[in-house]
Amino acid sequence: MNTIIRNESDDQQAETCTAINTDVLFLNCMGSVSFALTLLDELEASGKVQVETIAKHAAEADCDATVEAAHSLKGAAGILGATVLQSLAAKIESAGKSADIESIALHVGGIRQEMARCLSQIPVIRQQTQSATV
Amino acid sequence: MDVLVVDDEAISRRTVEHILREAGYRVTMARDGEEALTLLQEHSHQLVVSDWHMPRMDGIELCRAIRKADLRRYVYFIMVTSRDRMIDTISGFESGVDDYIAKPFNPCELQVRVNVGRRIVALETSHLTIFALAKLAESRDPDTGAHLERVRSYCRLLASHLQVVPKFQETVDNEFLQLIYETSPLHDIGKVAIPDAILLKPSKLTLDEFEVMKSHAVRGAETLDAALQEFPNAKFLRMAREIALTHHEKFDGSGYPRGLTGNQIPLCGRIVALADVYDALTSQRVYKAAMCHEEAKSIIVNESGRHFDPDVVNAFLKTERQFFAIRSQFVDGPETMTSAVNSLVAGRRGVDELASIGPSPFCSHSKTGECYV
Repeated sequence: MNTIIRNESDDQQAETCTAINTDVLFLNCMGSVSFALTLLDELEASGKVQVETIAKHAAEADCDATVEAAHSLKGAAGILGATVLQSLAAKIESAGKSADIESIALHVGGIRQEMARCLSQIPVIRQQTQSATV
Repeated sequence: MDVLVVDDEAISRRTVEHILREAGYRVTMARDGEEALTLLQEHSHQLVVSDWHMPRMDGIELCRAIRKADLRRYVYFIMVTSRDRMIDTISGFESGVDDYIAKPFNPCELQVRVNVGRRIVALETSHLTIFALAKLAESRDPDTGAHLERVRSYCRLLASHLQVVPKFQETVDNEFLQLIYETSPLHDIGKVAIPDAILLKPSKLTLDEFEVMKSHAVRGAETLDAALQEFPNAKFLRMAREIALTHHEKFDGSGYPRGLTGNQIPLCGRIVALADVYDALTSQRVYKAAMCHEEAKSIIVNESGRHFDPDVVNAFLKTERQFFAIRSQFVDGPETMTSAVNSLVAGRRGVDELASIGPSPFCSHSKTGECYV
């Protein structure tokens, strides 16, 4: 069973930012909206799995595997402009490096919720880009 | 130019691919180091952009494997990583990484860094052009096959052994190893100045003709001198010149063109002398069979202190297994045999003549029947 422990500072950070900063996303895609949308498709397909992989490794107290999974997600989130997601992944990676299981557990709930926030923004971004091109 | 992008994370991998395609590169992708290494062995990528953290084989392990593998080309390696601690950077460069890009990277920075890599690879290609010129000079002699490939490998092997001998440690560094590998193929570049009537003469050379043949050492050095005047600081040209001029000198002073003795002969010349002779001994010619390694070794050992520098002979003895491996790796192609057979069929050298030359002449210029050993 997954324990959901929320960290208040993660919540505050999430409240102040959009989940995906499309300015950053489009910059990283060199202005190609169609390519940006394929990256969002990729996130839609694999984002949940990536977070659950982190949660699974964390539950097993496998710090090395947690670090590896969090590191991957951190890189992807940075490209997508998912700043809060990136920051949470970085915190988990850092906690994993210090074998700080408690801190990892503290952020797992937050990263789940943040991923959900990112995924829920994807249809909105799609709609916005469609209406911009019409 | 083809770039290999290596990253286990799909979004990062596809983003790097997209950015590089936008800059006009052809991109192949791999999900980890092992997959990348297989692709590098099967294809001709000269640029790798790799993540550090990956399952199975990470970026550092991949880079080390590339440097260790005999890919017969230089692969420029760019590491994309969020690891920016000095100790990580040093460890990366020590493993052979050429450049770093810190995450999160700017797409334009990635393109610019890859462009730098492309320029450096192009410089290496100019070395290949020089090798091609050496091959062209060598191609006038139908007997030489993969001679240049073997000689350059023997030279690097001998030099790498001398590197650990205290008296050579100041002279033989990693740059020396690289330079001798790149420049030794030019040892006979002066052959381009030798008339066909002498270079390709199937029968014994007269003394006068042999004097002309010997001039290839000086002519090669003169050719490289002209380039050195334009680029006086080019170490590459300087070593190439020393090798062209001195690879027929002998340790006891009985060689040519200047009759230098011992350490008067530059170390690179002393190394190439042994490598060139070993290869001539163990290669088949129209007028002689190839000697086996043991026979060649015996001749070389007997000539220690006479033809060859004893330290280079010692290095040869300690690396003879690798000599054998190089010999097996670069086997003369069928064209060499074909030219030999054609020569016989055309009657350029009769069977009796072959027999009269006997088994001992091994130097590539020994048509006089003189034994240089």
